[in-house]
Amino acid sequence: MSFDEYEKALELCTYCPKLCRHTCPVGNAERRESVIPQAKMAMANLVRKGQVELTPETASVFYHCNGCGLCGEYCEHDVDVTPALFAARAEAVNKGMDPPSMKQFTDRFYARNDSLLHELHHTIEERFFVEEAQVAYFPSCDTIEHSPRVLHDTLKVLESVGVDYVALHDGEYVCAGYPFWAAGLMSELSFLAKEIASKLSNYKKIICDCPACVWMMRFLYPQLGAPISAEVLHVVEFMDNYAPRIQVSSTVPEAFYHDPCYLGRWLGVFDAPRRLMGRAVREIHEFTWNRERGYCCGGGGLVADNLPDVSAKIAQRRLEEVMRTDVPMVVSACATCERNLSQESGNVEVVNLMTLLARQL
Amino acid sequence: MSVPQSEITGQLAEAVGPENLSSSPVDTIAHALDFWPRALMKSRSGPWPRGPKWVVWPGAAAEVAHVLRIASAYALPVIPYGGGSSMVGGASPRGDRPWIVINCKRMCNILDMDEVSMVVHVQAGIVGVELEERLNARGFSLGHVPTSMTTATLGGWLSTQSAGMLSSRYGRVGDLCLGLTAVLPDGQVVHTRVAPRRATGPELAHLLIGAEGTLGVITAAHLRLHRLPLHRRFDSFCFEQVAPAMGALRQSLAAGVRPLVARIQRDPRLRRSDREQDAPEPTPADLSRRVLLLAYEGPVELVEVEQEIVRDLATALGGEGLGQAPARRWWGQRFAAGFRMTPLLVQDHLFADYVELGATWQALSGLYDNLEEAFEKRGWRTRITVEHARLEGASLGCAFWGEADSAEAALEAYDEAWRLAARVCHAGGGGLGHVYGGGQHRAALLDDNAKQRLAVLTEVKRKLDPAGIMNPGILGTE
Ligand SMILES: Cc1cc2nc3c(=O)[nH]c(=O)nc-3n(C[C@H](O)[C@H](O)[C@H](O)COP(=O)(O)OP(=O)(O)OC[C@H]3O[C@@H](n4cnc5c(N)ncnc54)[C@H](O)[C@@H]3O)c2cc1C
Ligand code: SF4
Ligand code: SF4
Repeated sequence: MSFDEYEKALELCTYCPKLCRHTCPVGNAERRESVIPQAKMAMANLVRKGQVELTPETASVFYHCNGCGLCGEYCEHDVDVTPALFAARAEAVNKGMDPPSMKQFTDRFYARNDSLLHELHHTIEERFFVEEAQVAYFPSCDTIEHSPRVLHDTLKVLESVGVDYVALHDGEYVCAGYPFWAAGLMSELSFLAKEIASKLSNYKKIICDCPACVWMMRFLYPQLGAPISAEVLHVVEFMDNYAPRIQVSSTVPEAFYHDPCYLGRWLGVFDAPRRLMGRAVREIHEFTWNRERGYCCGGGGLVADNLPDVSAKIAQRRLEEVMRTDVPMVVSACATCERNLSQESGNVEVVNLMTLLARQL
Repeated sequence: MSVPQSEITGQLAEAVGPENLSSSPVDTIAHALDFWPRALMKSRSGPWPRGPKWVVWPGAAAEVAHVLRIASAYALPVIPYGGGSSMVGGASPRGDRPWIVINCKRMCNILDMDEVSMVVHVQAGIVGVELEERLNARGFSLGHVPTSMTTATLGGWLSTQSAGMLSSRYGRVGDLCLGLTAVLPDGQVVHTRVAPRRATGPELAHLLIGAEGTLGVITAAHLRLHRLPLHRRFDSFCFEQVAPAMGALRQSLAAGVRPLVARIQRDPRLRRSDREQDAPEPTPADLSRRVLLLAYEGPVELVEVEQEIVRDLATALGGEGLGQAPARRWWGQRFAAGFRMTPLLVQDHLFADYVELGATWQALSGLYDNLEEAFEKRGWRTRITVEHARLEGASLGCAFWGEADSAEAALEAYDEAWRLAARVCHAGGGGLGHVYGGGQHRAALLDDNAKQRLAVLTEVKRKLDPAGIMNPGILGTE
């Protein structure tokens, strides 16, 4: 959608008394008035209306957003801030006013993709890359880069419940393009979406370990003219059908469950991960901010790349509640969350749900 | 005096650190307005107002002191900024001189908590809901819940003597404040001692509470806490008119009941969204009905006794018991009111605001009727709520809105609505600015008695702030 199509949302935020201030992980970490949801949207609106000049400096506030969607959860006007701010980023890119940190983003994206593709083939045995399979496992960039063992663990868990018809997708890309969306690079995203959709439409079902990839393929790709005919599921949604086949071992006495923003708020998957976690953990602790109100880990929206200190503070805030207890573990179902939280978790272990399940096999 | 901007920038950077100082448009634009509807309405058709020249984020009282000494030396206006939720232009720009905004939000920590005495020592830049959540995690509550809880700060609350929706039980925020740390305009840091009671002169804290940043910057406070309640219960009664509903509430308070929530409003069953699709349009009798919504909290035995007393009084005055549901429902949506004005403000031919006036019980019901009648005569819509009830009186919160032919006409109608509200209020013995403070806006509409009182404040300010830097133009100060 173009920037102007967000007029209603942008106007409502401009004239809102900043009621969702408290929800914004970035605003809370930076404590600056200019990066609370209302102010970011107001800046986008003033730029849209020509009341403020679009410059790399004014555009920079659009990039202080994790894209977590928590503000919208609180908003009684149903404003969805993320797509509006990402559209503002696209506007900045189109006018050549994106901040310096965004330069050569496309080159960096593809260089990383190629190196991770190489890494994937290096890590996973070739027997898992089968061309003709009913279900394709689309591994994500952050999983390959930061949690490669999740790939093995996922395959191991699938095998253990008798699912032997899943193959790793042997494509050219290991990312559905969320970084392009978040960077405001819409034509690059469209191109990538069409490439990926054409390859994945051969399968009946796609499973991804990255909740943002699932959301992109399910909801954004059709808007970009790249619908995927296959059913796209997060691995947790897929595994939920097999939960009864996973032996209950409850080897872990207690752990917190962290809702990844895209799996929870965006895809509405709250119970499946808790059900699966219950096969391995005796007592699941809930964060005060959980489920629809789950607080971001700080990893989304390119904030971890552009503003690493802010991202670290967000992770610290998320973990504060765990640190006040003796609970030794946080479980999540997203490699980005795992990476971001574990950087700040000290002695608390941050574990991917698939790894947790694989451990008991 | 001319303003050597780069020299000042250098000095401010020294005071707070260069990373906590900004003149970037990104930051100045974000501090160019608060939530004063008049200024927001003006911005719809005009340019976005100019922001401050400098924004600083001090981390401690000593840094605030340094900034104020610089401002005094150059006679630069200083606006303390909390959440910017002021509805009276308290944190909005004014005047031609470049000014400094002191954004307090880096001062956002709980410094100490004495769980035995139930006292918390906390910095003033903390956002209300964050403070409450931190207290709740330890089994306590402040008991101060304004509708702007998610956006306003403790410093803003104290500076405006804020009243929350639990004020009938816990009082205004000033009633919860046991001591303050504040920086006076000359850079002097004052701490008022925290003690249960003392008789050595007037309480300095109460000069600063409600001063709206005209006498200094509040940086921290000691606050009284309450244990999280064990039990909460709701109740509701419907009356044919507002007067008996007020009578029931007044008599209940006089009988010693301290409800957690006590408010009188239109019958919520008439709300369009709550009515059956084929329900007949409300009759005049339906429209004059009022509902008393109540909540109680505390030990079960106490709650039951309070509920019994109110039930007897309400029934004796013709109140029909509606049970827990309407009050419980209001509680579930208690922050929703904060969202209602925005859709009116985005349309440039509409105008809207919220008159809040206080009066004794003797005057309240007459004022209620007169205000409603005066607005409706002009074709402007109103919704009046009786809230913040105390032994001696209560507040009328009157949301009003209307339509005009153009953006300019909307501004004129807005000003006329306020002049009308002030006339009705003064004639009926009420006081304007009962909840949101005086700011730039209400101060000009106050009655002679209030203006006399504020003239004394101006005298005090001249002594404490000879350079006139602290929030000039607020509460009638120069
Ligand atoms: C939707 C909505 C609902 C509201 N509901 C209520 C309500 O229920 N009850 C109520 O009382 N008010 C309410 N208000 C008004 C407003 O929220 C209060 O006045 C609040 O106390 C302001 O706090 P703030 O942190 O936003 O202060 P700001 O708006 O930033 O400032 C308010 C005034 O205090 C001064 N100030 C701020 N911080 C300091 C400090 N540390 N030291 C000295 N001066 C300072 C400012 O200069 C300004 O004059 C509401 C406002 C809105 C928009
Ligand atoms: S998202 Fe909703 S609550 Fe947040 S600033 Fe916008 S309108 Fe206000
Ligand atoms: S989507 Fe998340 S990070 Fe972005 S403005 Fe909203 S709350 Fe903040």
